Amino acid sequence: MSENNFLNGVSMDEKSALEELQFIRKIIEETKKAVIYNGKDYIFWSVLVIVGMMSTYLFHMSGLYFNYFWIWVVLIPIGWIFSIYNRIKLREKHPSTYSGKLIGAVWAAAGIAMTIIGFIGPMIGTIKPMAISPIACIIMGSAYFVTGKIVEVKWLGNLSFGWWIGGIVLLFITSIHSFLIMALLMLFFQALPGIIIYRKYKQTMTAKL
Amino acid sequence: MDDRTAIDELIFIRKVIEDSKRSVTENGIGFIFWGILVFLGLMSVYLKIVFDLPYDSNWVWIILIGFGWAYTIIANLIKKRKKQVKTFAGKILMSVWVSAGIVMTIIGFVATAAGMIPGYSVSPLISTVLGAAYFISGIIYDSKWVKLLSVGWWLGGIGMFFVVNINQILIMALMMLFLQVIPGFIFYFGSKKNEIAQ
Repeated sequence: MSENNFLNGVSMDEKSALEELQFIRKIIEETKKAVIYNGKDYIFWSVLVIVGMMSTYLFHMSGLYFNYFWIWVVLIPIGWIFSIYNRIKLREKHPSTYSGKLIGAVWAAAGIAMTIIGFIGPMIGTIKPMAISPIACIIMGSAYFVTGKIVEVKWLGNLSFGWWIGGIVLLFITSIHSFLIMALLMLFFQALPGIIIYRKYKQTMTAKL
Repeated sequence: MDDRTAIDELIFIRKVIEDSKRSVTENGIGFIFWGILVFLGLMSVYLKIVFDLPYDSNWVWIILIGFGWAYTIIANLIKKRKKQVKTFAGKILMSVWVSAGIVMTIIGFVATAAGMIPGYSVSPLISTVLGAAYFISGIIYDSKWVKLLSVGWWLGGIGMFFVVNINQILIMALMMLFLQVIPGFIFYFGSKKNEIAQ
């Protein structure tokens, strides 16, 4: 496209034309990065997993033995229902952005992968129950790595290293304490970041009002 | 009006749109390369078991995966030196596949060495991880058939959890061929067509 083609013969106010172009550019740049996310999923899922891990740990430590798998059969669907509900609510409030869509895809994919591995593998007996936490950690690391790149926030991306190292360490821990460590990882690498994101979201929303 | 600024603004907008288009033009070489590597690895394990061949499969995997990572890193360094424009979508795609690679490497090497994952669980796990990577890629490419590949990988992963015998290796090798190498070729020929059209 030549310069003359799109400038000649245009009778619109030149200043406002430039402003329009700058506005479009700003929107494109912002849409690429902007993610209106309230962090509630992070907090909710971390609370669910901490409850699951700690209850398994405490039941085992106090000698209350039953099939702990049922704890997860109850907790995980609750998590999925909440995530879907939160996504619908967010969509009603804010227009979806490209980045927001990508983040949704990353966590949905990670969630599907963890659900398949966490339920089907142990049900058939091809995955030891003790292997679920480390594998989940390693997948979480991947999801954080990509999320960090999408939102271009270094600290969020760096959480992936915490998850990966945590996952590798858990691969070597075969005792019941593995559940306790996983609960702590959830607290520090999921619940706290979720709270930080939630507070930022609240600040952004207050500033917009 | 400052004509130059207006032109710059429009050039920027056009560049972003073109970049976004280009970013979804995958040349498929990575898919083909890794698909063939893993296919060879799987077949080497299968043949070793069937014909009781005298080599250690672990070393085959160490060589193949080490070679794969080395190639990927060098290829990306060369790309960086050439200062090829990296788009936002391109960067995200790269991070998806690098992180999926890290996950699969940890599962395949560390988890098995630690004794936490038995050998017959590796393929279903990797298949599930690949499903996740294809799902996100499908969203980025905005391509239905790429998204559908993820369903193939996930269903294959679930299926392989039930197959705890040597046939699992063959199934995984076939999945690698049909859900990775062939899609890689589709990408490759698509990008060649685009190049010619441009």
